Amino acid sequence: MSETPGSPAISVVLPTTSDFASIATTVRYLRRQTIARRIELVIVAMARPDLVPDASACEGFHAVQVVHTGRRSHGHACAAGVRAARADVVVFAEDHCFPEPAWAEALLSAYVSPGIAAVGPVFRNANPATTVSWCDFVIGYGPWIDPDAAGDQPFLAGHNSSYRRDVLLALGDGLAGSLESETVLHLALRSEGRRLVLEPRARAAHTNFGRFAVWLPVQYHCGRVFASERARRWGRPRRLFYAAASPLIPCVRLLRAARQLRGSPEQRPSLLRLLPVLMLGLVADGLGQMIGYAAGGGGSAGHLTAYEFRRVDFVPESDRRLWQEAGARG
Amino acid sequence: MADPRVPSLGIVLATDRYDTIRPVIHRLRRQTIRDRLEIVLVGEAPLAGELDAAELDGFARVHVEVVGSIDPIGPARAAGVRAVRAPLVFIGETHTYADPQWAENLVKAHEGPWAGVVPGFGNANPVNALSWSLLLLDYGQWLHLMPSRESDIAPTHNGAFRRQVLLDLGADLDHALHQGDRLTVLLRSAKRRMYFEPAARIDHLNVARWKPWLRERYLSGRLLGGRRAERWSWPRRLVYLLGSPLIPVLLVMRLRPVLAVARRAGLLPRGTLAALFTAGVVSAVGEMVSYLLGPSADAEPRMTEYELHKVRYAAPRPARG
Repeated sequence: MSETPGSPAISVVLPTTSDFASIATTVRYLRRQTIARRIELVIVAMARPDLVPDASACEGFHAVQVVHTGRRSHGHACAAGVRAARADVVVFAEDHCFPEPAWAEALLSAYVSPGIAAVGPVFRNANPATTVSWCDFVIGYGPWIDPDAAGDQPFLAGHNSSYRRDVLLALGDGLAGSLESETVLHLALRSEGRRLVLEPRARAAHTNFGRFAVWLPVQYHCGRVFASERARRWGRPRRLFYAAASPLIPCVRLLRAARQLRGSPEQRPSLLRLLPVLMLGLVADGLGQMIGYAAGGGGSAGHLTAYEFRRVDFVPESDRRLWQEAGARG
Repeated sequence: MADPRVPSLGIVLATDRYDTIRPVIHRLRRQTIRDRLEIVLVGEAPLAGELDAAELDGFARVHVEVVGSIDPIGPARAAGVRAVRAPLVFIGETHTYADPQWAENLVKAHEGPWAGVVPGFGNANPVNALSWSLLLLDYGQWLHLMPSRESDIAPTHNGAFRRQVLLDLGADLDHALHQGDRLTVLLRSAKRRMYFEPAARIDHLNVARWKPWLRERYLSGRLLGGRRAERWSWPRRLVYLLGSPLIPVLLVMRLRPVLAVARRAGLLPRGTLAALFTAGVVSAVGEMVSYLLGPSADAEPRMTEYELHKVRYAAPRPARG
């Protein structure tokens, strides 16, 4: 695999369950980074032992390596990528999240402050045409769509944040589980006194689920995985208490979503337009959390892994241009 | 006068082993019309070699219908129905125990214009509130103390039907005998009428341990919701998803007359209402998950374990120490 002497400044861990073409668009965006030559690209091949990166598409990086994990969960794949990475800072990437050119440089620059364990980017909606996409975006990335919210945060975006690699490696065998639901990891890091910082100069466009029949079950599975990870060390009384209180979750989250939509300068749909679908998504999430607290994660992590990749399959036809346009420009 | 060579009532029992349904056979041997009963056991190939000839003596006919698998149990029961020769067929279970006059009263009730007859249910293990809650939720409307009347619902098991009515469902019969409300929907659309006859009493064994009780209730909701989700549009699923939190309240409201009768008879232990409501909540959660996700591939086999071997979960766990 290609390699430049010295150490990379940042390792981008990019998992896929498919072939190289499935991540080619994201790789094109990574090549446009201002510090592309200091980036190590770690491709985690979860299902294709024959995955070979397109050499010309990967030119310009500090190094590129492929890690084969076999069919395991998203958390296991990311953990394998972290262990293989060589830079002091690792950042997770997705086949459907496209970083702006200054993204990596901005993330890296934030680590100059002391005590920082993780730095996250801010997001814009890459496919804003549908209500479902907006609801997915608000539920999944609501706290990080407002660039004014820079600085220390209680938690950062999952699947797209950067970390000091030694902080992740210190989790040992618990790393894969922690990466299944990063919010739980972030809350734990905060409780240890570590800092999580939002860097508004690091921007990425996130492509959200655009098909209702896929998005709604995903909300359930996300809620269930989150709750089961959060409650992993809890006693039964506490788990049952949280399960019983779960019907309140949609209401609490709806209030938060309303605040996030209101406080943004970007053109966004009104809460009233999103409300019916948003409420359904939050109910699904609350239901998943209820089951997660009461009975654990079940097969939800596996289901999520199936939905997490090849987002191009889960958006309307009109949104598929995102991948094609990037190809034309690249 | 009925032809003595043709059995009056066929009883379909899907089972994994003969031992599993031995207690049911013992009760059937005590029936006043035993010589007019046809026993159709449905199971995998080894079942035929396990029969106890002495125990099965005296029935009008005994037949083993061999199927590839009894999981899922709906198609297995449907195979049993097709193998029955009697004009009436009862879909039995491994854990329901008939009173001696049960079959006679069931056959007599079919003299009316009914497509099927639901018996009156008693509790075979009235050991605690958990057991009572499940009996009331699943069979409360047909509690043996309630007055006879026309029934809106056709139970997928523990109901008797005119065999031809079931056969008229054709290929739908396999799905109709799954857990859920498919049978009721199909019979209603065919304008078939059901009758509840409390004099035909049968006692039902119920799960009485906490963990299996929770799991069984969740699975029952999951299966019911899953069957509906399979055939419903998204808008309808969403209406039911959002309406599901009302289910426990509606269930308790609907059972109020039954609860009053059972309470007056001194049947219900303390905590039954709380258990009933909790079971309703758990079942509603299962339904909600199914409206969201659709049917679950592993719910049916997990439920089949409870269906076949309820006796394992029917006694409260003894206190430690």
